[in-house]
Amino acid sequence: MTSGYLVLLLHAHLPYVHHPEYEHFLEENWLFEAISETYLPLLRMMDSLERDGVPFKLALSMSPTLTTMLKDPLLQARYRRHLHRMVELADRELLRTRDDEAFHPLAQMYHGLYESNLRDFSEKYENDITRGFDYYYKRGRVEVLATAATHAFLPLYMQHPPAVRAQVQIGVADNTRVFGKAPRGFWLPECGYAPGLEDYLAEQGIEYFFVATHGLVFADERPASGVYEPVLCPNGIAAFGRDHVTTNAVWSAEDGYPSDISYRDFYRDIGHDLPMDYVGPFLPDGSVRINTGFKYYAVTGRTDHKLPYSPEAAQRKAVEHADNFVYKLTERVNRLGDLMDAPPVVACPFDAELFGHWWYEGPMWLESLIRRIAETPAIELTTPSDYLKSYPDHPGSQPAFSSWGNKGYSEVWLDGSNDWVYRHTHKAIERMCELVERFPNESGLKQRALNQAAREVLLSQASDWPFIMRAGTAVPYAVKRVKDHIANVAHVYEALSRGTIGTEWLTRVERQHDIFRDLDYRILRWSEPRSVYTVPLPSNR
Amino acid sequence: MDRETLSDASFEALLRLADRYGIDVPEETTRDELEELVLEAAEETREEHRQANNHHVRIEESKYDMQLDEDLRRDMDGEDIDLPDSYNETRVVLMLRDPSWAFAYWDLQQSDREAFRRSAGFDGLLLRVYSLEDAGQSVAQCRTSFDIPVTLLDNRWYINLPEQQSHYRISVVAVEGGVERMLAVSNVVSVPRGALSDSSPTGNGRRAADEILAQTGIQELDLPANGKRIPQRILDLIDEDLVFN
Repeated sequence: MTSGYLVLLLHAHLPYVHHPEYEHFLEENWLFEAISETYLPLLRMMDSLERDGVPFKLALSMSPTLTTMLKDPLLQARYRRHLHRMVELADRELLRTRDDEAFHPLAQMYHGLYESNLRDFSEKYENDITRGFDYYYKRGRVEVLATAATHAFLPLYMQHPPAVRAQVQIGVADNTRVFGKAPRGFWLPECGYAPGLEDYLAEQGIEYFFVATHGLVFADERPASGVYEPVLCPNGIAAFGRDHVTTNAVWSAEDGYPSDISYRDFYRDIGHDLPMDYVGPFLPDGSVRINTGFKYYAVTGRTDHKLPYSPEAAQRKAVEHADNFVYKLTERVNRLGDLMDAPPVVACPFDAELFGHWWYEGPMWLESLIRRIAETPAIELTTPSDYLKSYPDHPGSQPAFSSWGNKGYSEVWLDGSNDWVYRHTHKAIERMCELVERFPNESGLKQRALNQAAREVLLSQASDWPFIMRAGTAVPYAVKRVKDHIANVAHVYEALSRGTIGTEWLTRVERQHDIFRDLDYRILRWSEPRSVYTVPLPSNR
Repeated sequence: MDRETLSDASFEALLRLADRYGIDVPEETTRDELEELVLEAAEETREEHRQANNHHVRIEESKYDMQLDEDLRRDMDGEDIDLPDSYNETRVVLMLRDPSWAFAYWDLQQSDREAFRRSAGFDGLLLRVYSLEDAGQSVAQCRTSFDIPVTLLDNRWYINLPEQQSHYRISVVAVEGGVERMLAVSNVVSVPRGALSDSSPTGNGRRAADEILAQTGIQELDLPANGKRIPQRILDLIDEDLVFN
């Protein structure tokens, strides 16, 4: 008999990085690493479970920026080129390590991995891996959630309703276009919630979303069931609360499973460790040291003297950790069940890229976990929609402002390193709304320019840019991207005021930022009172 | 950042890096010593940054972490777009960062800014922070406020909010010859409690609700101090045996 439910949600997202104007572009590696180390391994995990008849249910959100890149022919071709280079590097690694008992099996492992990636990507999925996720979506194994169009951190745009509405509406529409059916759930980027967001979600037919732990326990009416039962917002949409304890066990770098000394070390990579004359041909410009994905050492502990990685030992540990998770979870739901009227639901949302990219053995752990749960009657793996179908009645409450970033609110996306962004992104929204009012019914070149300006407005809002500015990695690129998008909006704004649009400029920008092709610029219409910049001034004091 | 990459940088680029890290470089410092100082500072900065982030943020950072020598690369980047410092309009916007802090940015019309600069009687600008009784209250009706003096060079500020579960609005006020003139009024931000509600949960009994809450790991949440105020009766119910792994 089921004592409790587990919802595992994997949120897959990368910002839109697409540079046809360059033959190679460094930041495209973010996508290539994620496909190689996370998305393809997760699909293989699902294949393995299906092959063995193991029932599984997962929730997965894929951002529109990610699916656009996954379906883009140029990036698909570049990823194949990348894989061919990785196979070539693996060939060389087989030779280099041929007399090394510890490293040669690892070189063989990477050779196998990249050959499988190339085969699966090119032949099985015919370059478009969204097909793999779609297959399991259609079979009811995976429930795909929508997320915001360009992954804006929505609490910082609540004063600009057209922007929030466009992020939600386009996010839902794009998800429907890619996966062929309307999503029921919505992942709020960075788990960032502000009261009122549920109204925008309801407009698009969304039935549920997720909030951070304190988003529920600090709600106006403290839910009696903590985060172990969703609450219904005033408009009837369900809000699931993230369970801090279980998710922390999985992603804590200090005391979570990934910190185990047997697992593969993320930082040691031959791109940094081997002489430039050997590894240089596989690095950007032949000289910029970056991760290659070939990593030969285990976490080992807090030491610079890392031990060689043993896949067998790591696999044993992953199974052990999965067993431990199920044991603790069973204990937990049994205890909670004694206190609740209905079986508890434990919601665990994760960044998908945790599995495989950050924690190499993550997909292995996940597969072991799913297999173990299938043998455990007390726990049932479910999707949010299936759970809500079985348990539609829940207490009402208004969740609280919250996110899963540092200190639980907006600090990561609004601090001294990135706060300059909002003056410009807010202005870009307002200019776009002004353009919609001035040019409500354009066609031809003007329409193309207005549509592109709307794309630029949305792209400028990606949460990734302020995040990266604060993180300190790839900062120049993030700064440049925000400035480029803002400057492009300004260009259209000024050009339309002058009445001249340069076809060459427009065509170049359309080609670079080739996303949301069906976008209608009128989506950014300010249909409510302009609360930000038309506040009437009181008489002088 | 490693020694190999630093060795490709010019001495001037190394000095700029040292300056960015706040290193005081004596005149007689050799190139090798400078490289060592920069490497140490880079590692310290990286470690401090790592310590300051929660698990989620660290994992998300890893998506973009290709271990590039970012600081060096920044120096090598030439092309840049200049966004305007001002959009030549007088406005102020207030954004909520967390239950204790808000961020404000403002802009002044160029003509106003110039007039203030030229005016002998200009005494400065104030950010006036209004604590509203409800979100609809106007600043004219509001009786509770405090001022933050700012200069004509400032255009953004972080404001400590004294009260949670309240509403705030700010205005930009010019003071000339002792007379105040309100230049712009912001939007309202509604500040949440940022802590457990005082109301007892309904549905299950309070004891059961407290026991459930004690299992959420609430005491471990990475929150500002206010959010860490947890009643002792709930802390007493936390069962360490239920901690994972």
